Amino acid sequence: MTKRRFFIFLKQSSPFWVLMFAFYMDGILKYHLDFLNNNNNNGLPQILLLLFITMAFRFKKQQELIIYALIFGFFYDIYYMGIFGVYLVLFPLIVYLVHFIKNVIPDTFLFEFTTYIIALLTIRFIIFTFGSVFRSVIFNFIDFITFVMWPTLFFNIIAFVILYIPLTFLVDKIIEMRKQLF
Amino acid sequence: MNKFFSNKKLIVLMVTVILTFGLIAISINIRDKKNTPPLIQQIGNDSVGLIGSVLTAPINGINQIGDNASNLFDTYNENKRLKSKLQSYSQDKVQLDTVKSENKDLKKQLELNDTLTDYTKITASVITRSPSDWQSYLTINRGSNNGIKKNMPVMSGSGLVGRISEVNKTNSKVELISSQNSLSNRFAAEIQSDSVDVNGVISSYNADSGVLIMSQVNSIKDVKPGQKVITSGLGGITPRGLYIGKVINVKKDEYGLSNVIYLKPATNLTNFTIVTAIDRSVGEG
Repeated sequence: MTKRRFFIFLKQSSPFWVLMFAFYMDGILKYHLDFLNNNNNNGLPQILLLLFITMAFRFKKQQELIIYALIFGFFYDIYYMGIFGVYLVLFPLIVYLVHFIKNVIPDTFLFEFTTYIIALLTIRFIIFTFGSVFRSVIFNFIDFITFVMWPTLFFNIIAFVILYIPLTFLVDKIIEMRKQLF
Repeated sequence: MNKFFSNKKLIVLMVTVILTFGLIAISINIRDKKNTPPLIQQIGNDSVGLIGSVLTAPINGINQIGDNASNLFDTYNENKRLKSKLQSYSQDKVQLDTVKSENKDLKKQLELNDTLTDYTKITASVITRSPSDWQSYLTINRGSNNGIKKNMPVMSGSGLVGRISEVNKTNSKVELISSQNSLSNRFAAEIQSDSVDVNGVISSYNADSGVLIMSQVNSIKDVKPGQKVITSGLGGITPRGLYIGKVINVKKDEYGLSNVIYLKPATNLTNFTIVTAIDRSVGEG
């Protein structure tokens, strides 16, 4: 493979590398940020979800992003949760739903913010329901809201507000770069 | 909305939901029964872990440097405190060494092989922590290649922090004692004292107040706050003598039928960089 072909491959698959970075960021942020772990808090960074939603709003073709969502959902499950089936289904579902509504709603900060919050809440509630159904979790609902939802929402809202402009810029750059390859 | 709920999409949705539940149930079943996860999961975990260590190692290193830098500010006072403690510790260490060698000689005389208190340690460093509310996992950088087996107890600093719950070739997952999974944080425990003989099982963790709950106690006679609780070794996998926590008080359980003991965990459950997995020398059974 010549050098030029290697760079073309890198550019073509650039969403994959960015998604991989966000994938590891979730674990790293959870490990190092004391706010998420103090006082029995159990806040969960969801940077990968943020990136998926930003990309789903901007990509034209659906299939590629859904395949990425499947792959990253699979690895998210086995690396971070030890079982599979949870994120393997949830990430592609979110990407699919966002693609479905993106033609209908305007493309401004407020709408993307609302979509992100709704997706975050849905995912956390679905996972909590799975946990209760399989009797792994002995949380009651109030503890779930106090110790999981509140730090998660707080951190992810701040992360969204800070990362919105850089991420949209990055995703637009990626799309432009891939268009130029052809 | 009619187009969205067409028959085909509804069928696909229902099949997906059923498949999801099926997948989760199967994988929970497999995970509980086998000692190592299936090969696909092992390969996936190892490769993700290896690539991840490229990314996480520098960030962990930077964080440690940050911790060290902030510790520098407190150094003078801490130094004064530690120096005074050190003098009492050197006498304790001499006594401990004497008692240990006497113990070894006595065991040899009785021709005892390993007892419940013998174990070897495997030190590991934490790679990352899992963003999951279902179970609280740490990922450590030792796997079955280094001798880690499933259900080994894990200690950090001063006390018990959890159990190994999944073993891959190059990394493993530690499930914390503060995890909300009701099946995971059971440890057979006893109160360390010559005058009381209280055995029980650490059965859950109350996230609200940060206490461990020891249930199925055989008696609560003479149990006082401040007594130390250690593992009793009667569980089969954990050796005897690992420090768990201190008694806070004794209460009735939620049904009012039996007594439970509330403990404060010995170790700070939020900040780890190095943990130790304990390999008991006596085999099971």
